[in-house]
Amino acid sequence: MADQLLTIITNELRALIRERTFILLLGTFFAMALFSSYIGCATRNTTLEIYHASVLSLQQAGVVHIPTNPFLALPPLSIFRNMTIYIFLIGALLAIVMGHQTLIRDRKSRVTQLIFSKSVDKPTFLLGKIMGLVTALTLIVLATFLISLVSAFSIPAQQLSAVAVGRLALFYLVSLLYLLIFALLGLGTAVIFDTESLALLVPIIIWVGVTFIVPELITGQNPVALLNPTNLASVAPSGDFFTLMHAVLSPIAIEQQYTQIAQSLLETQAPIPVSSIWMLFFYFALMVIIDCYAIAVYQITTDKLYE
Amino acid sequence: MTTKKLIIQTKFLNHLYKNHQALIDLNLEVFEGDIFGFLGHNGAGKTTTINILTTLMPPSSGTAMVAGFDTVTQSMQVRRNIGYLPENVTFYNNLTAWENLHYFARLSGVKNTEQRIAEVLDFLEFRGFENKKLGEFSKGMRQRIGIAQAIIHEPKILFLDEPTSGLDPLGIKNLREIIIRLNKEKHLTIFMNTHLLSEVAKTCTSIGVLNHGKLIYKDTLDNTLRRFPTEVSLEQIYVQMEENGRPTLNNNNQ
Amino acid sequence: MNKTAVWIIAKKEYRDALKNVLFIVLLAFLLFLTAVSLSVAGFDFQSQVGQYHNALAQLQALSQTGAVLEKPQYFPLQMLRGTIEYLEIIGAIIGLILGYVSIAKEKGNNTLQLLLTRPVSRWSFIMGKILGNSLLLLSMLGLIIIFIVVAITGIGQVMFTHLELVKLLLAFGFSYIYLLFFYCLATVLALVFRNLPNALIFGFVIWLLIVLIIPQIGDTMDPDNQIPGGFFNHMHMTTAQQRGVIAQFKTYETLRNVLEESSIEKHYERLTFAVLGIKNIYNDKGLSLIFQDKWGDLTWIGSYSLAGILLVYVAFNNKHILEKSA
Repeated sequence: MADQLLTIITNELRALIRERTFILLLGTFFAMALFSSYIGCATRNTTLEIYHASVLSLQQAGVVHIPTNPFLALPPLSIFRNMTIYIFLIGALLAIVMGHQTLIRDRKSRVTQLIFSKSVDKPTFLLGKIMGLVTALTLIVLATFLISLVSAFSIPAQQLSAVAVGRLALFYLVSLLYLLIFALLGLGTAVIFDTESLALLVPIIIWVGVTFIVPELITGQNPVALLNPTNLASVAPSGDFFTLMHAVLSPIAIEQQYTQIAQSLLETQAPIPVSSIWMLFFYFALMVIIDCYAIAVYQITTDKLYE
Repeated sequence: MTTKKLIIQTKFLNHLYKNHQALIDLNLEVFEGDIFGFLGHNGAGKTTTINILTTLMPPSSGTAMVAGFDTVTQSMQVRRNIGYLPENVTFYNNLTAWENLHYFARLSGVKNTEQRIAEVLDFLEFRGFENKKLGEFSKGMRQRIGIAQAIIHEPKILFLDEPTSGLDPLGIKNLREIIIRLNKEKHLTIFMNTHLLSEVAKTCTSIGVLNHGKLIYKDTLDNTLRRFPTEVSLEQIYVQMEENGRPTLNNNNQ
Repeated sequence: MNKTAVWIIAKKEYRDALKNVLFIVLLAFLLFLTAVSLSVAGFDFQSQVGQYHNALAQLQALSQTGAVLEKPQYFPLQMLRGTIEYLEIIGAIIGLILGYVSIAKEKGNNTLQLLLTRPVSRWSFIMGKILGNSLLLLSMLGLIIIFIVVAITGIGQVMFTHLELVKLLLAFGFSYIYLLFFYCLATVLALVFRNLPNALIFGFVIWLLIVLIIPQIGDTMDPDNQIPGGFFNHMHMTTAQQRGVIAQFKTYETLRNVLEESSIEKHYERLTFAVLGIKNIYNDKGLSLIFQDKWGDLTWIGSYSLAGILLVYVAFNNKHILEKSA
């Protein structure tokens, strides 16, 4: 079985590397990782200069009590805060596509029939697919972590302490967990649905729901505003409706849990909300269960995608 | 012998894909009333030829005349005179047979659409299925709808690309009968791409053989059978022609 | 151009979409999102009114007048911010799907060859496809308008003035132009790509970049946006002082502006937010004043969509079109 698993995993990775769509999404993702560090640094440097210019302007106007520099209160890791948004926007979409492709590819080409005519059972097959995804996403996240580190040290010198590097590493670990949830969702829907486009669009609709709708219902913020890292920290409006929504929707607000963890890691020195991490694990486990169920009921001989 | 009118004529037709010469100086003549079988191995350039003759793509060089019109400069006139059934067409599955035919008939400029659909379905002995969705049709039934849409506007020439592909023996027999009836009763010239020799022998009146983009043989079926009297089957004739026509490089490699 | 053919194709596009489960699901989803955003806006407003009354009561308890407090004012069109943002995001996806499906079905069924051998010019085909899908987009937007009017006048018991109705219709007209761009984009991709699902995914990547990422970058680069509540507020600076400071950072501001300008979404947002008065300085203002300011944004989105139509034409006229539908 170990041999079969390894074969499936290697094959997954090889197929992924040769998939143009995957390379395209991955390229976009890496470019955004690099760009986000650059924007973070450029913005930080500019804002510091803007503060000095503002101080001068206020002094000229004769203001005596000049407010402290608010940018100094931001921890150095906050230059990566855009990365949180790229993870739940591009990263999650990339993960969905990866999960989707890994199974649709085999279904369309009737490779599933071939595989199950060998001495491979469904659990081995699924485990191989999942481990293939885990390996690929780990490599991607690791590469992104390295991109962030290198860019942070090379673009206008940032002083990151060992603790900060540790927090950044933890941020990417949590991001990996978040991405895996979506990859497994893409995999599950790719088994369940009979048409390729439906199998891709259903997880995308769920992604839209998790990324925009649920946070909007809880925080009262409009979808576009939710993409601004500064707004993510803002307080929810009061009122019965929002209290109710918060109570009802919190259990499924995984994007919010993720951004809370990310914020506590990147933008504060606060301890990490452990309950949020448990919740991400819970959804990861749930997705595994859904995938197991989907593959268990999958009918190899009557797959409509063959036609 | 009566002289027949030329209905398809190509002169020094060449077509170059990115890095592959699909057609090399193709000079082809098909006469009115013929059932022309265009033979060749996979990738010989048969579909490229049909694509050019049906105005779907311009040739890289050379000219093609169909029904007296140039396929590049007079493409609309050509289209009015031809019907085409590509390989593996599945139509709109969510529409009924009637809706599919109605759509293509209207686009072909047919005025009395409903009457024409009825006539064509009668001719193809396919009444009673009009209101069924194409999604429920077998490959053979789809192929009939394919023929129906191709003849709905009463063209002069019917182009068929591998029409028997995927059909069962009964389906092949039925299609063959339809093709012969169209030729005899409706006086349609038929241009058929195929790699099945058995089909050519049973259906066609003349044949052409394409090998790696070059026309290596063309004559009537009767003449062909007369010319190769010692060969037992058409298959042997075909193999002999293919081997003679194969580029020298391949021969050296053998 | 063969008008009959254009109309026949347009009608089929329309009917096909109504039979397409995916389109219906997405449309229902968009209506659901409209309802969500309207309710959220309504509850948010209610919460503001509640806060105002609480503050007023507290002041009165201290025997002071509430004159310093600003009473929240209700403008129905301002409730549409979320709806417009969902049109920006989900509407664009619907545009993409319509464009993708209108070509994918012809390629997948091998009917593209059948269509292209009819005596109809390629220009007529394109116009037929665009007309049919435009009618679909307009019907979809019409449905949303009806939904909004019913929700606000029926449930919210607030009547629209004539000017407000005109503004609503205009905003949705601009939405059509915006969505048409995404329709064209997906059509071009589906024509150009040999592998259809790849075309769809590529479309999503472009959508991500121009709808979500680029405007977001511009937004997060705004120095004022770095601190909750705004940097200049923190510094207690006047608008004139702010301008003076920002003027010293021209290159940075230009870069930020170029990023924002390059996205059709940002222009659409600026235009519709101005027309609907979501941007406060345009609230309750006449149309001539709004257009004086926002003419550039309208030209931008118009140019994007026009470029989209031209690209569809170029892609459809590509003589290699059939090689890409293997």
